[in-house]
Amino acid sequence: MPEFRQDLPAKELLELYSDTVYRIAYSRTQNRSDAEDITQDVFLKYISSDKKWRDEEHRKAWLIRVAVNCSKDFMKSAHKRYTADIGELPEKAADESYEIEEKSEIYYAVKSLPEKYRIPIHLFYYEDMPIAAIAKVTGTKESTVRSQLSRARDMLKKILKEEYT
Amino acid sequence: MNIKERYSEYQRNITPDKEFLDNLAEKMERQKIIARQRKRALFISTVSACAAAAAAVVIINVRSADKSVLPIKTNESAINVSTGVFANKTVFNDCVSVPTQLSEMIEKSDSTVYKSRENKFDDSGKLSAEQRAELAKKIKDAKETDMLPSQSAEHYMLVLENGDVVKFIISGDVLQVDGKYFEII
Repeated sequence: MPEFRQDLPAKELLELYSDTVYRIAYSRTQNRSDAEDITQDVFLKYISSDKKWRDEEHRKAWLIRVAVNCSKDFMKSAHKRYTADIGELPEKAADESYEIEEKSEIYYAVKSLPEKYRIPIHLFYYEDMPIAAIAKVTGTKESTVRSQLSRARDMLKKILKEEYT
Repeated sequence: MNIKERYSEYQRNITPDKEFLDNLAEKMERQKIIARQRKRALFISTVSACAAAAAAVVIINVRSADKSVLPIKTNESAINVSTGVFANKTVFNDCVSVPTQLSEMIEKSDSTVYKSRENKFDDSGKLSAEQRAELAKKIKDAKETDMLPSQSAEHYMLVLENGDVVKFIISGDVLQVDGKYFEII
């Protein structure tokens, strides 16, 4: 973790946390354009916020929590409902232009998960967050997170037909 | 490779576009400047509002202080007695009681006395010699009192030969003149 400074220039802040925020948004939306919208929202909220950070962990936790909330809100938003209504085809076509890695088995496996399982899985597998912390940032009970993770892992295992840890 | 490792590897390839990040950084810096300007504007307006409030408090206090030096008996009727161009002028001396002096002035044949329901006088309210005599008799022995008038007031204006004017009010049994109250016995 870099030396803590209360006020970071935008570029430095984005270097540190844009991947984290963007990946959370992407894990929920599975769409780059939507993930960019959410990422922008999160960082503009950060700029408007008057929060005083205790340390870098505090700042990161806040960004993760806001990213989770913005992603949830985005999926409920009129924009998302509208784009869902006009069909899957344009979104898939747009995704074709991105890196081939995204088209891996895991991409389709994660995409097949119910939306509510995607963020807990991401925070658990990629951010290495403990269940208690995931419960805190998602605003759910630990028992709920535990069962979501268990179901999501079962589903992924079934799709990927592999052992899991 | 287990699911966690595969998932992590897959995620490492998911990164935001560089152009998007550059644009976002610019937007954030602009937003930061706007937020600072808003804060400064808010600070200035808050300080201005506080200064205005403080000035208002000072003005109110000064006015309150002015009021506190007014005679304690001041009320709406009393103010009528002492208002106008005659406010600080007195025709009375300290040797004889004010009602007695006023009574004598009213009785003088060269004086004119007007009576009115309000502090405005015209010829229709001019008292006759009998009325003046009756009024003079009525107030002659009035004694200074702390009683405040409670009834409706009758306004009088006495114009002396030399042009001096004395205004007074009679409310029931209370005579108000020269900033004092006298009980009519």
